[in-house]
Amino acid sequence: MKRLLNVALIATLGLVGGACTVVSDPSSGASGTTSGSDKTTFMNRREQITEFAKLNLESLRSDMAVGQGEHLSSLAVLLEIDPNRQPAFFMLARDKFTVLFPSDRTTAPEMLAALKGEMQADPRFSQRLTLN
Amino acid sequence: MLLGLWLWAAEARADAAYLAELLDRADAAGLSARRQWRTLLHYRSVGNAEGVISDADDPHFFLDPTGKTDPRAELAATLRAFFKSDRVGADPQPAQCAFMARYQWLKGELGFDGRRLQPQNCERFQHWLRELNAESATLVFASAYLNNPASLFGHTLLRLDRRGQTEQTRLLAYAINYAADDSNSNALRYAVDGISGRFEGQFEIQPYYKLVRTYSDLESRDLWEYRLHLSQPQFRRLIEHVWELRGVRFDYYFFRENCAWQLLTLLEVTDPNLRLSDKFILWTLPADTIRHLIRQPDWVEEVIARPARGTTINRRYEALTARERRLARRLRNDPTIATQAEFVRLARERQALLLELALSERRYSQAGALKEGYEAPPDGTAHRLLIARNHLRAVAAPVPIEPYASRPELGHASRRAGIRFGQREGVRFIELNARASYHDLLEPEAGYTPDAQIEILGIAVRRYEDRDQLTLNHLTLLDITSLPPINTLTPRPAWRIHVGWEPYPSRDCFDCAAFNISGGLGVAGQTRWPWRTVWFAVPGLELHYSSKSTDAYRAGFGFLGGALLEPTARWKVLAKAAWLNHPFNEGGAVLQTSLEQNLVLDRNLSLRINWRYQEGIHECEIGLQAYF
Repeated sequence: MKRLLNVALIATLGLVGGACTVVSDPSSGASGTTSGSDKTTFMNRREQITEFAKLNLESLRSDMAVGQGEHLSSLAVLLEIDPNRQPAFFMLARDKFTVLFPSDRTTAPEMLAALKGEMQADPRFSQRLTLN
Repeated sequence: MLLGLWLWAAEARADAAYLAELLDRADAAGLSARRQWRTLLHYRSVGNAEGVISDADDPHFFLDPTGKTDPRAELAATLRAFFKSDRVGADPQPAQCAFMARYQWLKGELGFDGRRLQPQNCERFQHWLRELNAESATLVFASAYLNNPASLFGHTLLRLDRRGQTEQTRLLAYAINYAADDSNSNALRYAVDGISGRFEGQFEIQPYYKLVRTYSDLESRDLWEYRLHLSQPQFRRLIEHVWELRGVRFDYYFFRENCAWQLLTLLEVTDPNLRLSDKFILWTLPADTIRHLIRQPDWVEEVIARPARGTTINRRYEALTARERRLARRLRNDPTIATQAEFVRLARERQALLLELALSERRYSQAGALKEGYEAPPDGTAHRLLIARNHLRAVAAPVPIEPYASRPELGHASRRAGIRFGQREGVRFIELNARASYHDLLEPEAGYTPDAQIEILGIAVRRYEDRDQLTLNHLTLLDITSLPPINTLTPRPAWRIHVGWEPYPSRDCFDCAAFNISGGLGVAGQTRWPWRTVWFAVPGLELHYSSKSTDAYRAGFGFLGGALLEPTARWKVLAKAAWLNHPFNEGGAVLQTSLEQNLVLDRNLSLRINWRYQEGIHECEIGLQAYF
């Protein structure tokens, strides 16, 4: 019985103790910075765009279908789209949704490549394109 | 060459002379005893008033071998290192760059002469600063997550808000998250490693969108964002200190030196008068640190809610009519519903709302798989729903999304002590009780996860009028009960677990308590007439042990059912009945019933009135309990 009590106590303390998150998320750590030992170098802008699109692809799908949302707004900032032109960018994403996401298997790099094509074809965005 | 050697020797002599001067001035000013130096090195007092030890456990964080416990030696070594270009620190670089906050503070205090102590060009720091592009800080509280024992009490992190950031683009800010690495532990050692500081903790800098995805989208935890009021010099010091903490290892302790504690010590560098961490001696709960921080004058500018994905789904679902709910449930798996007359007859903004709800729910149901992997699996149904939504050029009908977990500082404090008077079978008693933390079902929900109870280390002792000694009534080690009302869109089970000694009176043993381990899995539902009531039924397993019983232990299964009524925001009633059958050892069934009420007198004061019955023993009591 004493042993049983000990096991219960340890289990309890284990549960009690986690006063905040213990992270073992495999995708954490190397995201804000480039992976490896150098922890000061952030990813370059292009890598940041790809990383953001990969991790938030489902949210971007929803935002682009509607032409609004915080993930779409954030992508616009990463793409360095002038705030005055962001409403037009949102409409472009909505109007070209089926081009950007032709199927449920469309990946983030494929969507970004399609977006680049659409923006290049649009004189409002072709001047300065971070996706280059 | 001789001239070169002579110049080098002259320069070395000049450096040595200036260093000696700076050391003398630092000593005279007592800089190593100043609060600012103590906070930058994470020193805290130990034993007598003179002794200190740093929470940092990484030798790279110190420039003197005795730096962990000797602030004066560390300050002298730091000044010495500023004259050199040797690469030091966890991210090796010249000391002036590696320890930017220390350098800037000492420079301000001692007025470094730039000709006699050449400033280094810290290009990497400048690049890092430009990339962060931060101008203010926000403390973020993630509400409790009952499905993960490590997140029962919530979590805190610090977001560094970018210049020009809006609510729509805050995802792009970077956040400082203190986390432990448990990859080298295993299930058996987990608790022991966590308690004894064998996990390594580090401050990590991650994009906020990653953390939002984990906490809000996948774990469905409401977030509360507290924008801090920091002056530019204060914020600059905070950022400089974050820079020098990168890669520095701290021993992680579950109870005290956890994420909430480390964020407090981080914030303390911004103001030498700020004493946040001193208050937490035995344990640090994230919600308690928020309560403590909000009490600091002028520290929090505004508070913004970020409802979790699950909250948004439920709030939107609650706003639907019965017919719309039926459609939403069918739409989830059948996009052709969007073309049927019943759907098309709805206003376009209602159609948009149903489509978005169906999509959110499909994604919510994939959260488990997403936590394991990186990208969502292909989903043809979701794609067809998206195309339907895309063709519908309308904005969804607005629905107010109020988080379920309200702001922690609005709730009662988590520690509790009380006194009760009552009688058991006509024998009067007085009871003193206390609870280390956190919240029970009868207490008001403000600041806590609704319909959930987490009680840790609760004790009650009684003095019966006919006995000379104190009697243990209960000693709870852990009690968790989660009663989320089920809905067809996001069904979640009700469950409970209890470990501790609880009252087990009988005719043979009037004041007995028995050790109990029990747990169960069931279902809860809610009705709203005439007031909100949560009904629950939780079957489970029970083990009782008492050396005073005829046989030492009883084991079997039980059934717990009852109702939690909320007639007003200040008054809750819990009626429950537990039927326990013990086929093993002491046979027979036992029925326990109780009716408990809590009336809130003040945020941190309440009145409790209880009645209980078990094995022919009746008991009633009334008492006050205060929270602190």
